[in-house]
Amino acid sequence: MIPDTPRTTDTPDVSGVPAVLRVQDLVVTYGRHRAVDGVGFRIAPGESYAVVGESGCGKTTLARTVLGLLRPASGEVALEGVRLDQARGRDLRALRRRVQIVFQNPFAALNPRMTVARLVDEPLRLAQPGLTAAGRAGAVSALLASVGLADRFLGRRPHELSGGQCQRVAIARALAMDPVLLVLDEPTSALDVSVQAQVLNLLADLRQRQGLAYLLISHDLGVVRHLADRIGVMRAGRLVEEGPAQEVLNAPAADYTRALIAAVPGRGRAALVRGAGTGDEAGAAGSPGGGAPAGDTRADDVPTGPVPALASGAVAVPASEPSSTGSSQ
Amino acid sequence: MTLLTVEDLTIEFPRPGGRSGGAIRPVRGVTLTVEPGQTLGVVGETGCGKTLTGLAVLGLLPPAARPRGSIRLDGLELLGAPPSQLRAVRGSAIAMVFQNPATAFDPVRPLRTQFERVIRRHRGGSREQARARAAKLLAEVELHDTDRVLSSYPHQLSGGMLQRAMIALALSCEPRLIIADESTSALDVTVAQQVRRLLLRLQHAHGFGVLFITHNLGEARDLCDRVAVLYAGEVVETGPVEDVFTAPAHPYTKVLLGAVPTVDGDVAPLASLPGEVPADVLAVTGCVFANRCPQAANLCRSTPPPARSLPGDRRALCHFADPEVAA
Repeated sequence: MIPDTPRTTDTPDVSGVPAVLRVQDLVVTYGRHRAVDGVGFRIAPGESYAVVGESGCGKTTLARTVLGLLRPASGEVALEGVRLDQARGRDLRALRRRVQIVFQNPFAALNPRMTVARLVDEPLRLAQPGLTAAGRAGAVSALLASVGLADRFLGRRPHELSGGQCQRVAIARALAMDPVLLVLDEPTSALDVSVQAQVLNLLADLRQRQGLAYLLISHDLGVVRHLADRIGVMRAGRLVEEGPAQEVLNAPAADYTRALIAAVPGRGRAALVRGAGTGDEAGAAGSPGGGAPAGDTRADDVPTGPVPALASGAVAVPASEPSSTGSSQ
Repeated sequence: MTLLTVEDLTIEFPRPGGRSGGAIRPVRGVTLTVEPGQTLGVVGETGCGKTLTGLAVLGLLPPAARPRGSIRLDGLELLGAPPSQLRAVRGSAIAMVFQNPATAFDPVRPLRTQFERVIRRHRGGSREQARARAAKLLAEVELHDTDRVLSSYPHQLSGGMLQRAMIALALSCEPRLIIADESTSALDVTVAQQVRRLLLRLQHAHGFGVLFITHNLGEARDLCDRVAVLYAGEVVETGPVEDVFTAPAHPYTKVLLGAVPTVDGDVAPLASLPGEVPADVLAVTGCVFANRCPQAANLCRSTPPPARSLPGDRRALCHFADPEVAA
């Protein structure tokens, strides 16, 4: 491991394996704004952890801090038991290789002047400097095959690929570094639904084959349901609820989680008018048969007011009910 | 009378690069109807022609486009109508709610000016009357701090507030038809839900018809009475929304519905499509979906499918659309 960087006091699991990622009391600030405000969670090896929330909740800031791109104001980020937030120089670079990211927009993430072969070869040179050219060519083919791309794509450039193919190349590049943790920042929200399905299937499959851990950042609860073992619901820099994916989605404890679930479309018009059942008291009070829901005059489903921090293993329930303070933005 | 009739609409562009006689047709033979007070969903993936269809109804196609067919609003032919006539219809009888309200408003003028211009252009009256109407409309879209909203520039309002303001502006001339193109796609999930509810409530109160263009199938299910599924420029299936969603007749609709990861139900591998839309659909001899269709037979590769009428006021563009499907 890396000798100069302090290790955490984290006690290993019963299995004796430390968490792939352990975040504790994390605070990240931009000036006086606390974008991440006391967040803590852990990801076990091979586990998929999703952070869900709306724009501005701090989920992307959290991802950047986990990648070692932002320094926290306080708190700990430990990767395989080593403190990423205190690492510097060579240690930090070595640690960063263990975490790779797949961005939302694959066209923007790939150098348009490089061929697919070069794009995947680039990280391989860093990861395995001892490899010969022939060895790397073989490895590039194998990586592409693992994301479902045949050798005929080797000579193509990003503009000759579809969005889904670009995202596969981006995933192959991430895998080339042999990471333990893949950060997926809205990995399919720029893709069409049939292409999104391919990429989600691929990600589910890769995790099973390679035992990767995922930190998934998403606003789409359907995607989260499909890919995550555990979910942390984030709002205004804090985790308002955390738990196994099934439990959080089937029996949400926080009002905000209920509001997010109720906002997922697709249950039909009656449900939309009613307020889709759970967690939407204002809408649920309305008439089910059409027309304006009675209690929904300002349609602000999201509870406002201060967000209490999450005690470990517990659920924080915002004190205020849906109020009428205008748009949630 | 039917509010909007789009009949056999084909939109052609000269091929970029300009070989003589070459052309691309991103929309081919599209037929749609919107009844007064009803919502028709136009759903499909990137490049299927849904946005072009909406722009054609507004007469806002790019200058190079060559549309053919017929677009009638209350029986009045819009395709080929003189610009002065189109200007009278646009913003008045037909209004548009765009995807991104932050770019649809003029960034250098306060909302007050933009409301005044639209209202006075179509309805005349004094500036004070226009302001009073704007305030009333904003209250109707649940923006109650009307003075502050009207004196704001677009960048001073949130996405959700701006989209509400855009809907108010669309309502300002009491349109009979609203075209909503991905109107909630740029919004956060909870705000999008509020906007959908608002649209439904306003439609109930005002009785306008809606052409609702979206890639989000769930959203179409919640808002629409009927739905038209587009693939590669063609309507592959139309019908009442619940029927199409519970028993899709076209193989593409089936895959599309199976590809959406849902919050409830089992976590199973999602349906997905192999391959891509043909690069040149005009060179395809049979069905344009045949190269990706899980049920394609030889007939599909040789002969374009007819638009088959199915029971329950449904149609599907498929040789093998199950006639029992709606029964």
